[in-house]
Amino acid sequence: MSALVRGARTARLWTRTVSRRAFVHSTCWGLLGLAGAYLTACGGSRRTGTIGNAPSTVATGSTAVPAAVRKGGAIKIGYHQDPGYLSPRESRSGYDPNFLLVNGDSYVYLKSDGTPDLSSSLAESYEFPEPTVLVFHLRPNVQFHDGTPLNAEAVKAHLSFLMDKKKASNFGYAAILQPVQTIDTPDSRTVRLRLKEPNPALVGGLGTQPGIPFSITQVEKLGDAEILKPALTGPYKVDSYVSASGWTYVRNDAFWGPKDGTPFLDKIEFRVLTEVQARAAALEAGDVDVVWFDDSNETTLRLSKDRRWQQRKFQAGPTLLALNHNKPPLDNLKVRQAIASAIDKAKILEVINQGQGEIAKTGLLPAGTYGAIEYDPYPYDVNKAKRYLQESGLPQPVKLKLIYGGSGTTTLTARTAQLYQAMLNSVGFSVDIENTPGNSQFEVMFDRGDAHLLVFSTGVRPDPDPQYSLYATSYAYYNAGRESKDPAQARLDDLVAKARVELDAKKREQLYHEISKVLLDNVFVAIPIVARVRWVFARPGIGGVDHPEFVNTPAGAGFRPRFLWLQR
Amino acid sequence: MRGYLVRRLLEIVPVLLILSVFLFALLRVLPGDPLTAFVGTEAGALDPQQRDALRQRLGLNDPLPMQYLHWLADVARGDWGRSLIGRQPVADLIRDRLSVTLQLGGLAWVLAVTMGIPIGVMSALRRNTWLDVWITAAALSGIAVPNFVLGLLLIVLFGVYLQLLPTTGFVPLTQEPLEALRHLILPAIALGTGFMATIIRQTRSAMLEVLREDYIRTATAKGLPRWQVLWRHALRNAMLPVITVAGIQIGHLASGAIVTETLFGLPGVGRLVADAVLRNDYQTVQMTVLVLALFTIVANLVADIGYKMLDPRIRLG
Repeated sequence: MSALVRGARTARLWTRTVSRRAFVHSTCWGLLGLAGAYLTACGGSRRTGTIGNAPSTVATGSTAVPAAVRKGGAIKIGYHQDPGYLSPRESRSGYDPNFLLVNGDSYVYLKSDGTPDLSSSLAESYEFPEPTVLVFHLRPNVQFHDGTPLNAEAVKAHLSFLMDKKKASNFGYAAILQPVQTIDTPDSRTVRLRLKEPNPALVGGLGTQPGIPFSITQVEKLGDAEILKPALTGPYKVDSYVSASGWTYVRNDAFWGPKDGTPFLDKIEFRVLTEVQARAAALEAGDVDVVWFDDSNETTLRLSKDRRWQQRKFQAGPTLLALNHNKPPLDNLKVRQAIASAIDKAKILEVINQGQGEIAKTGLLPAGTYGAIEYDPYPYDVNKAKRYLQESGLPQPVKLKLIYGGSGTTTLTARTAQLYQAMLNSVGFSVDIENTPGNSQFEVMFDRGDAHLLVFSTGVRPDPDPQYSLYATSYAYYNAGRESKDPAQARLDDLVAKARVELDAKKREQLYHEISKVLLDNVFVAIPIVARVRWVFARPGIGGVDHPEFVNTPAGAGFRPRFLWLQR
Repeated sequence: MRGYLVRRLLEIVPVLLILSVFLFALLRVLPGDPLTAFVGTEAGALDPQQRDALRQRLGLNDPLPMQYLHWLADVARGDWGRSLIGRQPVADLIRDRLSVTLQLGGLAWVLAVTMGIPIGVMSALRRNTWLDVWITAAALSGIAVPNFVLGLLLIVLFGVYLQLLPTTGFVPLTQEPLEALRHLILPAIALGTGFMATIIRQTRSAMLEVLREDYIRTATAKGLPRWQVLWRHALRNAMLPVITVAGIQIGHLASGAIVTETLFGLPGVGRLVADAVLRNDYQTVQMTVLVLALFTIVANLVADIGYKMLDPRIRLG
C-alpha cells in the first residue's frame, strides 16, 4: 500500500462525520487507555529509597569513594527566595547566613555544634580580661573585596555603623550589639569592646549577622547600591545580581584562608525558585546542582526517598502554639493546662511534617545544650485536658480565637490551625480560626493582643539569651502576655537577667533549664510543638555535601555553599 | 482617526489617576503594618527607636492624603520611588522586569494567535468530524487546566523525564536568541495555552457563523476559488470578535504571568507584583500595577484600531 493511499485513508478518518455512539465509544476507550498509561507510569517508578526518615547524610554513587578535590567549575543552587539585598547591613532574616557566609566571614566562626572555631574566624583569639571587657585579636593580612584592609579601625567602623540606628535602620540584629558600650582599638589588630554588663552571649552573636564585617569604604563609595555589591572578606565575592532571578559569586583569589582550601569553585550561582515543586524539578532536570528547602513537605519526603540525591537534613527552629497568657480566659492556668494537654504533638509531627523532625520540648532546639531538657509536665492526655477545663470553673464551650498568617486555607499553616482547632474542640473549647492576610498576624497577636492563639514558628539563635529575651520576658515582643501580673512573669524576667550575665557555663545551662521549666509549668508564652527540619539535596558529583560544616544549625540553621566543590 | 487617537490617549490620564487613588487607598486598607511585613520574622528584634526611624524613612508617619500627594508629585516629576525591600529605583525594577514579561507574553501571544486561528478555522471547516471533536476537546482542556498545573506537567515531561528543555532561568533574546527561546518555550506554552484555546473556540464559532452568511454563499456561487472565499470573505469578517478577545487577553496574559513566572523562576513583572504584594512594598505595587494598566489600555486601543482596519464600515469615535 502506497504512502499516498495510507495518507488519504488517514485524512478520510479525520474528516469523517462523528456519530454520537462512535464518540461515546471512543471516549470510553480513550479514558481507559489514559488510566492504563497512568497505572503503568506509577508502577514504573525509578525510586528505590527506604521508607521513613533518611539518614542525615547519604553517600551515593561517586561520593562513596573519596575523590580528590577539584578546583574550578561552577555550581547552581536553587534557593527559595530573593532577599533583595546581599549586604549584612540589611540583614533581617535568619536565612541570611546561607548567602552572607559565601562571600563573608565572621569574627567568630561557629561550628555546627555551636562552639567557636578560631582557625576559621577573623579573630585569631579573644578573651575576657574582665567580665565586662571582650578583647579580639584580629587575623593579619585579611582584606575586603574592595582591597581595604580588615584592621581594628575597620572593625570599629563596622560595629559602630550597625549600632547607629539611623545608618542601620534596616538591620534586624542590632539588639545583639546592644550590650556594647564603647569600642577601642589599642593597636591595628586589637579591638576592645567594653560592655554595659557581663554578656557571654555576645561571642556567639558575633558568629552571626552582626559579626560579618563589610567594608565601610564600599558603603561610602556606593551608597545604597552597596546593598547589592558589598565588599566582604570571604572566599567568594559578589559578581552580579538580578532581582527575582538570582545572583552569582566568583572566586576571591585574595582570600586569606589556606591555599588548598576554599574557594574551590570559580562560580556559585543562586537561582531564585520560590515554588517548592519547581525547585525539586530543577534538580531532577539538571538545571541546578543543589536545592535548599527551608521546611519539610511532601516534596522533601519524596526527594529524601530517592537515592540519586545526596542529602542532608538538619534541625531548624521549633513550631509553637503561641498564646496570650494575659488574655481571658487564658489568664486562668487551668485553661492553659487544658490546652497543653489537648495538643497531640505526635499527630502534628506526623500529619503536618510527614514525620520529618521531632517533638519539641522547649522553645529552644532539642539538640542544643540549653534546649536538651526532658521535661513535659502536660503530656497529651484528652481526659486530663477535659478535667483541667472543668476545674477552671468556666462554662463550656470555652471560646478562643486562633489566628494564622500567610494566605489561603490549604497551606501547612492553615492545616496546622485546623488540627489545633479539632484537638481543642474535642475537649470542650470552641475555637474560631481566622486567617490574617498581609502578614498581619504579628500585629494582631503581639501588638494589639486581639487573639488568644497563634500558629507560630521561630528561628534559631546561637545563644539562648536573645531567644528568651525576645520570647519570655515582660519586655519581649513575641510575648503577647507580657503585661501579666502573674508572679511567674516576674520570675522569668529575673531568671533571664541572671542567665544573661552568668559566665559559668554549667550554671548558665541550669538557669536556662529553669527558665524552660517555668515556661512549661505555667504554660506561658507558647507551647513548643515540633522541632522542624530543613533539607539540602545535591546531585551526584558535587563534593562537600557530607562535610560536617556544610549544614549548620547554631548560626541560622542553614547551609554553607563555601564548602562545595566539583568531583573529578 | 487622528482625533480619535488623541482623544483616546488623553482619556488615559484620568483613568490612571482614578486607578491610582483606588490603588493607593486599597493598599492602605489591607491589613498588615508594612513595617512588620518589611522586617519579616525579626520584627520583634527592632527596638522602638529603630521602628520609628524606619517609619520616618518610609514616610509612614504622614497622613494618607499627604502620602498620596507626595507620591503623585514624585511620579509626575519622573521619580517613581524606591522599592521598600531592596531600595532599588522602582523605575529600574519595572524596566528590567517588563522586558522579561514582554518577551514571555509576546511569545505566548504569538504562539496562541498563529496556532489558534488556523486550528479554529480548520475545526470550523471540518465541523462534527473526528478532527473537530479532538480540537474541541483539546481546546476545552486548555481552558479548563490552570496554567500552573500545565506548567508543572510541562516541567516534569520536558525537563525532568525527557530533559529536552530547561525548567528554569532566563536568557535575554538579545544576547543568545536560540538559548532564550529554549528557556522561554515552556513558560510561553504554559501561559499561552489557555489563550490559544479561547482563540480556537472563538475562531471556530465566528467562522461557523460567517460561513452561513448569504455573502459567502454568493461568493461561492459566483465561482470564486475556495481559498479566496475563506481568506477574503469569511476569515476577515470572523476575525472581529477574535480581535476583541486577543486584545482583552493581553491583560490576562499579564496576570497569568504572575503564576508562570513564579513557577519557571523568570524575573518578570508578574513576580515583581506578587513579591511586592506579599511584602507590602507599596511603592512597587502602585507603579507596577499602573504600568500594567497602561499596557492593557494601549493594547485595547490597538485592538480598536484593528477593527477599523479589518472592517471599513466601523467608524471610530
